[in-house]
Amino acid sequence: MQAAHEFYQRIADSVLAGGASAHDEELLGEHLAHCAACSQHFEAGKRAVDALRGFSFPPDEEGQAKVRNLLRRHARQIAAQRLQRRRMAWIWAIALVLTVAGSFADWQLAGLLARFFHLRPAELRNGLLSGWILPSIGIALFMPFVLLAPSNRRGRSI
Amino acid sequence: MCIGYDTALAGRVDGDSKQIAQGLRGRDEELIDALVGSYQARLIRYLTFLLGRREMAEDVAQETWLRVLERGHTYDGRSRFEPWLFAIARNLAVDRLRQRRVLSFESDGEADGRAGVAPPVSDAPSPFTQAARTEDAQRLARLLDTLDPQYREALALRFLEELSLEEVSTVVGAPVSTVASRIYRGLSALRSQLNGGK
Repeated sequence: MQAAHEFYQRIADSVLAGGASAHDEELLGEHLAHCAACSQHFEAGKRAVDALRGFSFPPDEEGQAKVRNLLRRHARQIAAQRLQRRRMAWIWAIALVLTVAGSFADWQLAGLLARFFHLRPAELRNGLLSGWILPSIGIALFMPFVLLAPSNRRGRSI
Repeated sequence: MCIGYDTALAGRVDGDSKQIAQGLRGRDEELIDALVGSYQARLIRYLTFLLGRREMAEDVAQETWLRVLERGHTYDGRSRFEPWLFAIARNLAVDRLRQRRVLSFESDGEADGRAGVAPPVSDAPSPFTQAARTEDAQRLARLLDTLDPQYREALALRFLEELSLEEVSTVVGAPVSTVASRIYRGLSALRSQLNGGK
């Protein structure tokens, strides 16, 4: 008998929690019609749920205004950051183009200088490549990781 | 931009999650204002049930809105807005609790050379006692202070925020069966309290 009560009371909890099937609800309805103990259990559950709804957290207008102001400020900060990052991206793109163009010009110039100073062009170009062109292109390629890295810092104090 | 939100905006907020998603992607300030108007009180209620402290709930709610503004583009509008919002709030609340635990651990260690002792109990009045409006709610207030936060959270999401079991499961990141079990246990504790602790 106790097992039957436990079975139906579990269904009653499930109905209250919103996880019971239509069949379970029907089964419970039939049982509650003639079982005082389970009816009491179900009613006590409904009373508990109603009691929970008796807690009131009224909206705090001042708090809401504070949050809205904060959000507006933060939205402006985000927009400004985005603009700055876009500018940085343009600066980087231009710097990269200039670096590549400058390296190409140096490469051509190295041939002329080698002829003028009677040097071997391959050696001069190797020196230029390792001492100037590769480092400058490397720095130019690495720049976006520094400039465009997302900032994780965020203002917390309000 | 208007500070208050009108009924048309409120309709936009309540009705269409696609519209909310679109507005969040574009960081539509009026929509975000309206969202704050519609959900701030609910957010604070949920966070108070989760954290058991009103001030901390307000802080975390504020942080939640900042996160909504920053990561609004990740909401796709295919599901309801509330579970997404509460899931963000929950993650931030859990982070905040972890930070507090670390801080309390460090300060305890510095103060007396011990570590891992329980944080001091706050003297502030219980948020549940303050919020209780009915006789039965007053009876439950003291119990809610000591009830496992996981049960409080499940009860609040299901019965106050009226999320489905599946939505609650998404918010808390636990299977539906676990959520249901937390609700049953929470209800059982509330029922006993209302029956005079029998």
